[in-house]
Amino acid sequence: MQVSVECASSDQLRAWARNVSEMSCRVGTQATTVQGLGGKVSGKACATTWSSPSATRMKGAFGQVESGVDGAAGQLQALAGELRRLAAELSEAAIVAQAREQEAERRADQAEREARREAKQGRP
Amino acid sequence: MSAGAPGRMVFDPAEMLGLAGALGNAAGDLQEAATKLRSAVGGAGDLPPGVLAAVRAETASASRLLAAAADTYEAGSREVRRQAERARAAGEEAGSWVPLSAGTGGKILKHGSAIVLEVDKYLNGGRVQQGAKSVMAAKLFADLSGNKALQTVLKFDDWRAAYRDARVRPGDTALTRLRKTYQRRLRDGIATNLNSIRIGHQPDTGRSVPGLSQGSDGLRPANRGLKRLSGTLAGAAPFAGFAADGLMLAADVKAVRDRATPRNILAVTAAGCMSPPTPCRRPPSGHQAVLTAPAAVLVDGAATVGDIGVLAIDSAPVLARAAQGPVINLGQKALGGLGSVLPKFP
Repeated sequence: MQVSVECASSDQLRAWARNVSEMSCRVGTQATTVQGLGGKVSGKACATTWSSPSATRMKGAFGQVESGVDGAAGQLQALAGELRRLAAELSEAAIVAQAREQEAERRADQAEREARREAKQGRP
Repeated sequence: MSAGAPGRMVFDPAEMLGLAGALGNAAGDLQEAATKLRSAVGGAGDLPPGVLAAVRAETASASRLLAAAADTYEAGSREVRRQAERARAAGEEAGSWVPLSAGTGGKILKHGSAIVLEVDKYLNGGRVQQGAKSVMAAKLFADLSGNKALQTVLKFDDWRAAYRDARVRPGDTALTRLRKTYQRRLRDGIATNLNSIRIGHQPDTGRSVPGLSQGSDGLRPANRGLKRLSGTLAGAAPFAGFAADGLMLAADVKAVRDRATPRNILAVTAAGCMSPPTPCRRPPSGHQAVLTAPAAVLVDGAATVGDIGVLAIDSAPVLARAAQGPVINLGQKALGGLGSVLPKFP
């Protein structure tokens, strides 16, 4: 997931990092919930010794469902991980941006001071 | 007939309903998770450009997977519930369904074991014994009544294990004594009939042979048991494990039952006694040893032999007056091994 942060302020980046982190938590919680769902009933179904043809078909369906649910959970976990990584990057970018902004602010202040000094020296 | 195939199991309707409930709950959980997932990104605050779209796309994809899984679970729940209801209804209609969990502490029973319990219940007047006793009772019933269909229900290994568990050795056990007792009573009954014929009385055609018809020692007439067993099996057919085999078995048992009318019940039991005791024979090359031909054929064969015997006995009083010797000889021939112990007529 690529995000352009060049034009973003540190405040904006921190807000994004906070929101993305919150989103990763939401998605991670859902992923954990989903992960538990897949095995819960499939395990129960497969633990039975029912082996009629219809039960065999049903067990096959359970297996497919479990795979699908596991796939969804894995997809969500990956997304949550990606969001966490993005949130961390945004936090770092916010720090860098803040430093850049402070540096820019310091330079601006310095330029302002120099301008004032020059103005004062040049006064007759 | 593939009854008794390894791994064939049946479900208790209550357990099936329990599973259906669990599947339904899981379907609900999955559906709820899918919904939550879709709404999880709804209240998101300010996000970087493209992130919200990417998260929405990913979560929507996962949500679709979950919804599909929920649908499958829901369908599975409906199917299991439908089968459970069918099984329960069939059991209620038949008066009693195979007590899949009775006497086993709620464990799921093997296909044959369920039938064994049903036979055992019949033999014990509704009470169900447990474990090896049930198997022994059913085994004796099968052996003594000549119920080939029942004998084919359980595999050789099942019988052998049952004998081992019951510490019964083939050939020198209570089984042998009971079989001999039964055969002796059968011979006595036949002898009584034939003596009646000989002295010119109306013969008993097997409907009330002493020691057989209303036995107080568990050797009740096969007809009632077969009728009940057939009905039970037919009723139990909707059970998952019985779907195919149960119907075949029910048909086989029904075939025996139809022939085991009061008219020829003696013949069927006689045919059963004539059959060699096969269940304890070691199978060649690991195959099922009890029967090598389809059960229906053997049932037909046993019943046919029995019919010949009944025909001979029923016809005897009429024909005996005209040609007593040949008729009696036919009867003795039809009854095979029992012929040697029957009274000799001039």
